[in-house]
Amino acid sequence: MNGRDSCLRISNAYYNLGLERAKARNLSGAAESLKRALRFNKNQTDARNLLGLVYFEIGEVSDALIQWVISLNLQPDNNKAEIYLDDIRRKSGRIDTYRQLISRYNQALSYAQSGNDDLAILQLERTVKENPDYVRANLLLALILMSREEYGKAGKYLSNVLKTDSGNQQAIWYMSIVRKHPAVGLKKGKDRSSPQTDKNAGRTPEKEDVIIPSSYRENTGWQTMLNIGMGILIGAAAVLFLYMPEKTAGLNASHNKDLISVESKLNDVNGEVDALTSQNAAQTTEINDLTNQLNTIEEANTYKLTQYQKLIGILDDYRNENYSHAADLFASIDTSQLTDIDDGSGVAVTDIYNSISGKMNAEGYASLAAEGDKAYDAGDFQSAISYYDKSLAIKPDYGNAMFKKAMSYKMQGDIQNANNLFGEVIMKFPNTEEAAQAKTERGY
Amino acid sequence: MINYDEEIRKFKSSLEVTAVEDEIVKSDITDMQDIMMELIKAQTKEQHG
Repeated sequence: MNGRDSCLRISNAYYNLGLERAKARNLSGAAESLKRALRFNKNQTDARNLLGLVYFEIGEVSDALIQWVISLNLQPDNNKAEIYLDDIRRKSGRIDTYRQLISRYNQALSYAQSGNDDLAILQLERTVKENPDYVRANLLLALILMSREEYGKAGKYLSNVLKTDSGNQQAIWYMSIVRKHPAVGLKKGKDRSSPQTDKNAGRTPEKEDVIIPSSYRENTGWQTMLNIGMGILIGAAAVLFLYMPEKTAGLNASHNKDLISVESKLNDVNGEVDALTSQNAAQTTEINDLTNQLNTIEEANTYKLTQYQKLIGILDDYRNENYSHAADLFASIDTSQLTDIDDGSGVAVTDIYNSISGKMNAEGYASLAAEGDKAYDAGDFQSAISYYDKSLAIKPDYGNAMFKKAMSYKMQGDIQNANNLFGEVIMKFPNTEEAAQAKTERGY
Repeated sequence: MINYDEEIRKFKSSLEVTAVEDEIVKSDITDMQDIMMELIKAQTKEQHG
């Protein structure tokens, strides 16, 4: 059995439970079961329609309309919700009546919560008179009356609630309090049948008291036989209508217990899936972090090795007397990456670097500028700019390289950069040949 | 004994008929099957992603 089937079966079981409770007029319990049925299967149309009916029965018409509209939306064809909605729509003014009842209850609640009990009672009595099944209105009215110690009247409204919804826990609780109090506030006119002769006058009737009607007569002869026959018939009917449904409900309850256990297991499995998903996500994040760290370390190592490679290249160029390429490498080397390792070999990398840096600093910039000139003459202005940059990296105050770099930009048509550099030459190297030429180029 | 003030605070107003339309729009009718499908989809995506 897969997860979907489990959900459908659990939903059906809750629907059956809800139906049983609704038949027994335990509407609170029914609503709870039906909501659970829908939580497992939103398309359980019967459950949704019945939930709407339950809401309608207890006076919550808006909630009923919501359930029926959703039901019809999910199953447009062959749906009883359509009949219910049509019924309300057809009877003109019915919706308006429900709207007024709900508004009146809400208004009364507002009055009660702000201490205006008299106004609240007026509104609630009108509401309950028009719809005695409106559970919330009855309960609120009963509570207000209880607070005024009018327990008799409160009991009447609580009876209304329990007739409509026998499983309403709030009403059961209120009723238990009402029963503990004498019927203060009950109209005295009720006892007017025999005010003088009743020996129990002034005594509050107890729950267990049996009231014998005046029409009562002792049975004799054939009446006894008739009564026995009726008793047998009633007994058979009791077996059929009371014992059998109870037995069926018992079997259903046992079945539901099994299904609830399945539901619990399903929840456990879902919990494990969630935990594993979280664990997996955490491990993936850790792997990504470690990969990033490794990449960073590899990049740093590669960069360091590149500097050593450049140093070896400079030494090789020196050996081959290729000073311009040596200067090219020298201009771009990062000396902070060159470190001496005391491994007993006696080789010191920084000493090697220092031995060549003197010559490079003294002559390298000129070699690079000469390479730049060659590229400039050949019309390769981009390469020329690159050489002049390297020359300036070794000797930043080399005005000639800066001027030639500006000229290269100009030849490329990049007048903005060219003019900026001409300006720099004029500022940094005044009274030089390059400054004079730069002024001419700027048109001063 | 019943505490009237506390008890009266527990009462909720009924949903007005005029608010039904808005409430339908806001209704969350997600069921267990939808949640299971979401979990399965997410897991499949993770395995192939």
